Order: sequence, then structure tokens, then C-alpha cells
Amino acid sequence: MENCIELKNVTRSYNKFALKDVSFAVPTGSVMGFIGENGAGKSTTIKALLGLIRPDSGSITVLGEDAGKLSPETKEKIGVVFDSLTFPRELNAKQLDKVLSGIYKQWDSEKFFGYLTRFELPLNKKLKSFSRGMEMRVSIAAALSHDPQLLVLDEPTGGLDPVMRSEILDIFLEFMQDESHSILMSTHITSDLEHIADYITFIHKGEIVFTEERGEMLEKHRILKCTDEELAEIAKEDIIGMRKGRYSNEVLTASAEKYPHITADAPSIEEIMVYYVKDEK
Amino acid sequence: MKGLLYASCVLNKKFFIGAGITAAAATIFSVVCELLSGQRFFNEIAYFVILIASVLPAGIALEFPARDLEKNLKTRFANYALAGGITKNRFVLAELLKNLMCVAGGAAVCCIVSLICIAVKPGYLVTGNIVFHLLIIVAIGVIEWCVTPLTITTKSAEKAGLIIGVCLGFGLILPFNLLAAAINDGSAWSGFFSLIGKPWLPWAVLGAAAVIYAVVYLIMLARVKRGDVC
Repeated sequence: MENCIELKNVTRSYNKFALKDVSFAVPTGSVMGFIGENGAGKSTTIKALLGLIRPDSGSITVLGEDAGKLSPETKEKIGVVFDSLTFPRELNAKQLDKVLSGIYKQWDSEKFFGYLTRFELPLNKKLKSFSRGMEMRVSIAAALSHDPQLLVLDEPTGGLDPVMRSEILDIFLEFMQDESHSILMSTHITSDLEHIADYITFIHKGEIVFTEERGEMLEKHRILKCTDEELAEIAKEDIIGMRKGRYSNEVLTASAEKYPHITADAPSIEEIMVYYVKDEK
Repeated sequence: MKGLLYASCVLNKKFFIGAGITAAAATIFSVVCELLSGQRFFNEIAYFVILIASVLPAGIALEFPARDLEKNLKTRFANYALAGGITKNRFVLAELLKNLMCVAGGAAVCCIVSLICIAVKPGYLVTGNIVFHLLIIVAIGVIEWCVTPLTITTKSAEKAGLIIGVCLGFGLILPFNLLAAAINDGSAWSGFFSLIGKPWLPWAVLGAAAVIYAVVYLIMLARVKRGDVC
């Protein structure tokens, strides 16, 4: 299977927000970082590809099946982590294991308890007493414990300290050792994507801005540090985003080769995202 | 689906405990009322109290499915289950099974209370009384099942129950009362109570219940398929 996830012209309207013609694909065996500011449509897109909301138009296929009609066997292959704990908080980890073993046929209790031990999570404390970081860890442990082929992660490292984030990212890299495995991960912590993502998709106000291979994206974009005079030389269509400072200006462009005389810096994923969103043209 | 039912049972122990305590209290109360039914005051209310005591445990237990669904919606566990190994059909089936389990449990308690009453004072309660109590429990189960899809829309079991209650009150009970008042010769109420002894009544009620269960099942399935459950 070439792409484990494919969205084509997906549209979904709400009162004050709409996904508009969202199209991108996650190649099998890759990690796709899904970035965008709060309210951009990341969670809505993730819900659509999990079949939790029905698009007004367009098509979504996940592991070769229509997202709205995923078979139980295909759902078994998808590990899901939402941006907050979605398990009943009155349960403890042991009870959660029993619940999830009744939901997933491929549930592996040994693996689940192994992850809980690795993440230093208690077995007998109710989930409602967990901190935000502990909640995310138990969600990740659950997502990995039924032999998934695809992980769909909505802010999985939110609330985790840098040490635990590094541990989690290593686990995701271990997961990717199998070439048939794939990950779609939405996150605000773009530095995590610098370590793990093969592709980046950027969504802004319900529309896909770009979906590119990470290295290519970073190579293509440059931040030009220019004076007012130099700024006047830059064509408007070459300016993706701009910040005006007191003494100098910064312009994000994908056409830096046209302006070899202007100092150019390589941006981070975060900077690219910020410039796209905070357009001060 | 087993996982959903297990989670529901673990998380809602208090309803079952409450229903159990109520059942025990109801049994004791029913026996006392039955023994006192020969007294002038108790003569008029004894059967009515026994009726309520037989049916109340089921009413308490049947609070649980809609409240459990409300909790699953608010915590988004329903989203997790639907994104996980649970199909939309199984999700709705799990809700139906919760309802039917409570109806069955309530019916069993009702039979136990009634049998104890029969043992204490043979002849006071007859088969017809017990069948009538069971039909009321089925009716409560049907009403609670109608609340379930509305709970998804309102995200609140209480609001959904209020809406159904208002619809039943203004749509069924009030018109009947107005009709009875308009006829004004008591024939409407005596007509209603005469139905209780009819041999076809249990089958009619069960048949109507089955139809309503099926229709509401399809409504709920369509609602879940529409998405945006949580």
C-alpha cells in the first residue's frame, strides 16, 4: 500500500469554522508531522480520518478503506492518542487493561504493563489522580499495546518534560523500525518533528498550506534579514511572511536564490509556521 | 464491546448497589404493607405501595445507561471506542444491552419481591398483579431507551429525560386526562383499568415495546453514523 492515509478534497463546515479542500497523503512507512496553530483544523482532520465525523464532501481512505466504514480488523491496526485523556477517570490502569482487552482483539496486556513500568506509571491509582504528563503516557501505552500498524497521535507529547518526551520519541522511532508502520502526529512542539518527521503538513484556518518532505521544506525556505531598501527589492509574491523590526526586517521566502545579496538564515519548522501564520505584509 | 460493558459495570457500581439496597428495602416495606393491608388505612394504599416497591429498583437501575452514556460522551471515551475496535453498530448494541440488562435485573427483583409477598400472604398478590408490574418495568425500559439517542444530542441524560418526560406528559397523559374529564362519567378511566385484566395486554405491550426498541435502535445508529457524537 503506497499511502496509509489519503485525504482528497475533504470539506467539513461548522458554524464558525470549516475544513476546505483538505488534501494530503501519508506514505506507508513514514512519519507525517501535522502542524498548525490552535484552531487550525488539526483535530477536526484527525477526527475525520478516524471516522468520528463525516465530511461534507471529499474522500478519506485509511489503510485502504473508506474512513467512514472502517472494518473492526482495520480499526484494530490503528493506535489512537487524543490530546487529552479519553479513558474513564474512575478506572485505574489494571481496570483499564481489562476494558481495552475487551475492545481490542489483539490487546497485549503484557506489553501494556511493560510500557506502564517503563513510563513509571502506577497500576492501582485512579486515572483522575494522574498529572497531564501521566495521562499522555498511559494513552500512548494503550495506543502501542494492540499491535497497531498506524499511529494517529493528536498532541502526544503535550505536558511531557523533555526527558520523557525524548523517551516517547525513541519509542516512536522503535515503532518505525517496522517499515510497514506509519505515524501521523499533530503537535505544537515542532522541535519533536525535527527529530522524527519525514514529512510535514501545515494546516492554517482549515486549509492545507503545504505538505512536503521535511528536508526539502527546510531547504526550500529561508529567512532573509534585510534593510528597508532591500525589502523594497523583494517581490511581493516572494514574501510568505514578514516581521518588521526597528533596524531590520525578516522575510520568509521560498525564493531566496533570487536575492543572493541578502543575508539568509535557515529557519526551523516553528519559524516557518509562525511566519506563515503571522503575515504582516 | 465486552470492554464497554465491563467499564460501564465498574464505573456504575453505585447504581447497582442503590438498586440492591432499594430492592431489599422494597421487599421489607412490601411485606409490612401486605401484613397491614387488613387495617383500614393500609387497605387502600397497600397494593399501591407494593406496586411502587416492586418497580422502583428497576427504575433506579435504569437510570444508569443514559448517565453512563453521558459520562462517556463528556470524557470522549465514546470517541476512543468508536475510533478503536468498536464499530458503530456494536456501540449502539452495547447501549441496548445495558438497557436490557437493567430491565432484566429489575424484572428479576420484581419477581423476587412479589414471590416473597405471595409467600407471606397467599392470595393477596395474583399472577395478574405480577405481570402488570413487569409490564410497567418494560415500559420504563422503553422510556429510558428513548432517552438514550437524545442524550447524544443534548449531551445530558437529565435534559434528555426531561424532554421525554414533557413529551409523554403533554403528549399522552394530559390528553388522556382531558378526555377522561370531558367524558366525565368515569368510563375513560374504568376503560383503561379494564384493559389490565385482558389476556392480550402483555403481548400487546411486549409487541409495542419491541417495535419501539427497534425504531429507536435505528434512530440511534443513524445518529452515531452521522458522527460528532462527543
